[in-house]
Amino acid sequence: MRRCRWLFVAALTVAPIVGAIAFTLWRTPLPVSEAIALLEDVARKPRLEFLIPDTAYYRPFFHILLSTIWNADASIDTRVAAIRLLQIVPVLALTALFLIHVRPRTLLDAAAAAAATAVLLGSPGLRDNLEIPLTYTTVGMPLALAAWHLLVSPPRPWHTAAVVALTVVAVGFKEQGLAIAALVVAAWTTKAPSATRTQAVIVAALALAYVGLRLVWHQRLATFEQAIGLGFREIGTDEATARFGSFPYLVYAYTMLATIGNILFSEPTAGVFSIVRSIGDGTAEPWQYIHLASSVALTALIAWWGARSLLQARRTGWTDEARTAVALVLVLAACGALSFNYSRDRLGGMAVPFYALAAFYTFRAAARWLVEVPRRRFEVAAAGLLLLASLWHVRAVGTVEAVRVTSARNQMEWLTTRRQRTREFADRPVYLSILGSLQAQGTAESAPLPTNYPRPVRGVFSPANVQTR
Amino acid sequence: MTETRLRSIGWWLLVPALVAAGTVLALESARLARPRSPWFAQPRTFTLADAIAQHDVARAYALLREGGRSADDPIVVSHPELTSGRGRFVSPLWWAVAMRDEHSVLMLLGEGATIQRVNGRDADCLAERVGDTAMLAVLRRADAVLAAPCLSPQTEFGVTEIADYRLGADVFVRFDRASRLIVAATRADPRFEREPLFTKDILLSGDVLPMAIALEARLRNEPAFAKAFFAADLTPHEYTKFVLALVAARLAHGFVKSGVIRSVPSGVHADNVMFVDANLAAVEAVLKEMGLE
Repeated sequence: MRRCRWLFVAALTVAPIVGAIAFTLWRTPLPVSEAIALLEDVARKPRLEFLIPDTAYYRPFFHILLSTIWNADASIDTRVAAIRLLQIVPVLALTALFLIHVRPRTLLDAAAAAAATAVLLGSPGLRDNLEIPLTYTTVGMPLALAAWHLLVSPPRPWHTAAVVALTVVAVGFKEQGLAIAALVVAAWTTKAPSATRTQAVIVAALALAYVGLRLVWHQRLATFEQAIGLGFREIGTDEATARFGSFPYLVYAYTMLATIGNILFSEPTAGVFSIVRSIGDGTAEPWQYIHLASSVALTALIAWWGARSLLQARRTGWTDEARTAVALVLVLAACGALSFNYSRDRLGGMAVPFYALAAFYTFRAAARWLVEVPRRRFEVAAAGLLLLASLWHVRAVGTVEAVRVTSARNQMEWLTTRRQRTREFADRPVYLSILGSLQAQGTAESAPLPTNYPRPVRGVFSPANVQTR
Repeated sequence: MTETRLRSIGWWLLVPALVAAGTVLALESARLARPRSPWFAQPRTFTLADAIAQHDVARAYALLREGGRSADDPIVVSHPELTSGRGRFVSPLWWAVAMRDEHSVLMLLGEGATIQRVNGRDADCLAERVGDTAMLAVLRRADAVLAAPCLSPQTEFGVTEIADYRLGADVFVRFDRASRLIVAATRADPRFEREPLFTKDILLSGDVLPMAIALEARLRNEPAFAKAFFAADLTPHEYTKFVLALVAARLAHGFVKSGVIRSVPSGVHADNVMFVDANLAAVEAVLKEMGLE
């Protein structure tokens, strides 16, 4: 019990924020957009048909799971609750796995773990994925962390099978699960205890087979599947295809870097430098400064820690920290590559646990480095570290608000789009029947709403305009 | 020294985590304990009109559903400019447009709200009148705008305006003049044979308020009557009130005199019956001219 003392301290410290996120998600109405169409799909199609990769949005395991829930012989309330749990359980599992993986053993470890969990919860890559019922990447994130945990743990005979299974499940939820292949390669390259060449070959072969299958089955991919961001504005698919369709590769490169940039610097968002634009316009709000400053500062510190860890690894051999640095680089590259077509915050989700893991090691390394410096520098640097951790905790609280904003948005969508939907989908009786059956949960007055913070705090956790009603 | 510093940094780093945890814990506990606090919710409203005025769409929807009412059922509202600060009956959609609340407009349309060419129910005309092009676009996108042109601006009737109206001799003179001119105009027009302007059935059946609104709209929007009102120095609004009060008072007067009822019935003011009694010949003459006697 004593050995787990600091683990419990860290868990108790982050529990209120994680609990608030889970509690809010539990009462969030299912949205109209996407949710009803997804439920219509699973209501109409036989479960196994989702295994056929004939769509650009191939998420067979997600659809099969959703189909199992929606077609179950249970009340609407029970089915909606199960769909909500599909989003809540992965978030709880991710946080628990993260704390178990870093396993704090001292007060400093516990504090660094709490700060790193704030990084995990406050990152746009996680926040953008907290949308019921779109749980694809939220499921993939704990699976990726679990795979990494196994890879760097002492070897067991079942580890290879487990890592392969985790990869298959994650990929089955969304192609972003392929990022686990990058982790396996990172583990093998850095001689992680449970990594083997066979394992790397199997996972790499699986990844290649998956990509091949998708390309063969779906030969004609759209040049731009969704709107792209470029510089300071968003460009629709038609305009993007007209402008860049003949040679889209430079835009693809920009889009890949945009996703990576979003994980590391919170900018750009969906390829658009919206925070920079707001600062330039003089309309930036506190949360925008907080996001940009905390990300830039933490990424700079992580770069320092990463370089230090890798240099040390050259001298003394691979450590968990050095392996994590390599894993972060490779998983960032994988997330970037998998979002070549368009960039969204959520597409960086698979890299977020590893950015947070790097943050844990960075906070700890920075603190240990600080104890050696002269008193004056120690005080200044420790204050800087305190400020950085504080900003990330503000961001984590902001995630609770973001989930509330999503809930309010979903409720408003239910209240205001009924006429448009009933006319638009007049020839789809299944859609309309699902719309009718979920109307009550969508319009319930009890849906979570954003907090009306007093003026001085408004705009600190999330955009001010969503806090004033 | 090293150990002390490490512990200090550990505490320093843990403090913001504890503050954040405490903040969320306090907020969520307060939310559970006092969900109606201004921090967490808008002020509670109990009428559809107030909910729309507060832009509380969810509450407006709940009130609509709870009451089992139609989205077109009139509500009483008051606005310093649009209703001159007096209580008026309008449709919820009209009020949502007046409050410039696009979300409430879309919610009401989803619940089956419609636009009619009657003052207080012509939400599209209100949007046009106040120059709210964005709202007009919303109504057009929802195909809610009527093809028929908007009626000319009309003053709404107050909740008790007709019930409280007193017949007076000065207005009666002008009413008499206007009525004779109107009757002359209608005789020359076959449209009024198909749809007579005045009949006892029209004037005394149904809810007085919608009927008053409809009658005034008809009087106001018929170009042939404009001369009559100009000549008599009377507005369609005043004329409508006068004719409704007069017909009701005349009928009550007849019942009392014939002994069918002992006293003036509720809904008709005794002063008005006394006015008819005092001016019976002139009243009968004008009503006869109008085809109502």
